[in-house]
Amino acid sequence: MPEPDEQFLRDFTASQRRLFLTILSQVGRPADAEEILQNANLAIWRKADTFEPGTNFNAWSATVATYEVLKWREKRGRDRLRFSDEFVAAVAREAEADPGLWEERRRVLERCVEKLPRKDRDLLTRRYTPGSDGSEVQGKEVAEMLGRPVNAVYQSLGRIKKTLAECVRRELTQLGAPTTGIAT
Amino acid sequence: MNAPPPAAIPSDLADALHALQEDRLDAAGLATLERRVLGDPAAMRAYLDLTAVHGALAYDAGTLSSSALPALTLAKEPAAPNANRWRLPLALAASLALLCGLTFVLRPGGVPEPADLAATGQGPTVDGVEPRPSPVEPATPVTPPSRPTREFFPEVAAVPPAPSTPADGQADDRTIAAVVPRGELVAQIDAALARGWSEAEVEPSPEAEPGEWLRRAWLDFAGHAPTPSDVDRFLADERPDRRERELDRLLSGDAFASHLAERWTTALVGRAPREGVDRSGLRDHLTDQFARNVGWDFVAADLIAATGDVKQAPAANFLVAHVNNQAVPATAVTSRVLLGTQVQCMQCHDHPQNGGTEWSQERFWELNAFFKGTDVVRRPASEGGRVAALEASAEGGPTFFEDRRGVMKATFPKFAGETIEAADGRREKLAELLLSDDRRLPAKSFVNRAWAHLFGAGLVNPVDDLGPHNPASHPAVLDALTDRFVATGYDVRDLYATLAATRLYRLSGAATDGNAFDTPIAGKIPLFTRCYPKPLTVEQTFDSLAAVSGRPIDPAARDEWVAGFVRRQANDENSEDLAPVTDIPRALALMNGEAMEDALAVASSGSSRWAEPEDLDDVFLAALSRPPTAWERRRLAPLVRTESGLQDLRWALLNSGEFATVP
Repeated sequence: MPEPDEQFLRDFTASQRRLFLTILSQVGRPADAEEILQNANLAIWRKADTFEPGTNFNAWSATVATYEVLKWREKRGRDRLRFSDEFVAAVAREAEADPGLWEERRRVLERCVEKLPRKDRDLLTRRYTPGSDGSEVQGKEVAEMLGRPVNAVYQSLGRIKKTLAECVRRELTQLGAPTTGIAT
Repeated sequence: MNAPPPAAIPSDLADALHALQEDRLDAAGLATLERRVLGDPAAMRAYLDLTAVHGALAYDAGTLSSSALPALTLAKEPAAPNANRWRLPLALAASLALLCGLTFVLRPGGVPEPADLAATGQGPTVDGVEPRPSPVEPATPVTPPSRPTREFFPEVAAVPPAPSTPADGQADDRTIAAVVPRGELVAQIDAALARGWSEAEVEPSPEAEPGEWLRRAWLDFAGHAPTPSDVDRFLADERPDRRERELDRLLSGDAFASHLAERWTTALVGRAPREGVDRSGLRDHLTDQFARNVGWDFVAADLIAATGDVKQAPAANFLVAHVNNQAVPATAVTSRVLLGTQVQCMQCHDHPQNGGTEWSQERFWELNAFFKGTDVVRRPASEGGRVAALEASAEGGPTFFEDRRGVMKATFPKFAGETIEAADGRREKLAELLLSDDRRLPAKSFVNRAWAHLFGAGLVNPVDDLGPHNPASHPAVLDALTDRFVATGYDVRDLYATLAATRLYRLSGAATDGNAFDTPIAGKIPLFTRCYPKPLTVEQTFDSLAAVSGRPIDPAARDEWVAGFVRRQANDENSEDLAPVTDIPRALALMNGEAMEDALAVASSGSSRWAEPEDLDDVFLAALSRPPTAWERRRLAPLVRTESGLQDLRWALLNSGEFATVP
């Protein structure tokens, strides 16, 4: 296998967040999305020599990722709660239409997180910082850490995420970009 | 331009998604969430925005930073072993067709060598399967259904074209004489399998006991276990050729035709009721075709080309079931069931090697276009009500589809290099092209399914995934059987008689210490060191309960019972219920219901041995077609002495794994 060139590497590295979010939108759980991203990375790497330089790397890698989502669903998804095929296909289409606002969104999200009250930021940090074993820490474990009622923490987290999503929308609108890639 | 959507995100949506992210959402909640998102573009945007927040937080907090990079170091490891085993859910075909499409079925020309795939262990990628220029023009079309051309099958040239003869039900002897005689072919198959065994340094299982063999043959060819009197008759028969005699009897029986028809009906339209589909009408039609031993090429061509209402043209049921949704399911199911190839996009992008012009997506729509101009309509039925019919629509011309860049494209029906521009008769033309194509996929696919039917695993597995990416375990065997099948005019009974005459069919299904590793599980290459046991289908289970207790086979009662097993997944229409139903706990739950009670009831019509067993032999021979082993006799001796002990034993044996298995 010929070594991928530098541009490929740059595109590849830059694509990671976007791929993760694309996959996540199709499977719902970060841990699952992470596993699929790894598979997708393997596939992208393996197929690097079939990528035509100069064409759209994002579209190409998104397609490889979509394939990996399907494969994973087939292999792992049967036994558990999961989205329907129709839903995944629709979301994949939608996510593909997004021309690449992910970077913009990230910067905006940072600002929005900064605007949060300190208490909320603290909650978020505990929720999203991986546990000692690298796994996802869920709301109820956060509650245990803080000694607060599970439901209260659960409610707070939901409210914070909603606030953040709305904040991102507002900020993006002010920047003059549509809230998603869909032309409005 | 519309105004940008308001910043506010609906609370119910945010709550549902939050619950999902915190593992608190149940199936009903998930379904509601899906409906909401699919039904409303604003909800879809909200879903993506919320997901982006959750995902970005998880990503940035470092969950990902450590795991994405190790993937790079793994990159040079061999691909996941199952990479070429997964199967695409059919319901996704529509969206995937837009992304990619058929990769090899529809490609004109030869089938490339799978050598590089095997060497690298890579999954099937479009890149590994480079299209070649078509080596020959497609065979000259003959009136449908076409016969193999002499060019490809020189042995056929020696005899006048011999269409299979529906009238007397037997293939023309002269045709068979022109190909390898059956005995010789059977010897070739036996030798090919034996070579595989010696290469793997493994001994096959011993021959099956007479009772085991009889049970297998009845379940495979009659669709149910032998009745107690058939067991007695066979075990008492001491002639050396009693097996051949039994096979003759079974293969010419009505039960063989109806069992094969049941299997094919399930493969073609599934078990669940479908709008407009007269399932039992299709089954009756196939039963008739198999009973008269009509060539499979005729039967398949009919399924593809039928027009008219399902009462008068029962073969039309197949497409009535699948031409919904722009005939995307019809395209996919025809490929899978009749051609043994999956609409599978192995990788979805341009092929640089091919100058970027070979869009496999286009191949999919080229096949799909054959179904354009076919509508399902409702016609008044003669006996009142309405009946579904396939009708030519006025719509001709090309099929339009949108490629991945959003560009509208158009294609005419095209297969194996031949383009059809006429609006009518497209499906007839398709049947003709499929059957004259030199890859012989309809024949090969049927042969592989028949092999799997008798031996518990296909020469290619999964049985509907033929192709260069998935080579046969014994390619020469598959080719030789396909040669004969085509040369005999797709003679189904001849094919089954050939398979049943092999040494493999006489082997026991039980593994020995030496060959226990040889199991037909996914991903392993089967050595066929034994005739792998198969789980009973629900239909076989129901009919066997009737046969054992001496009651007549009742298809209507069976259909009603089977309906309780059909699992349908919402949104997976046209595909999910095609899977065989082998949910054993569920089967047992139902078996312990009425059907089991009926089987155990001391019915006056039942056989006396079953109704009033006198010893262990009575119960074992009736329920399992074999006498008890010495060990079983010892262990069960006390039971015989207890009151109703034998009665209880009947229940236990009918619920045993042995009863639920074709040995």
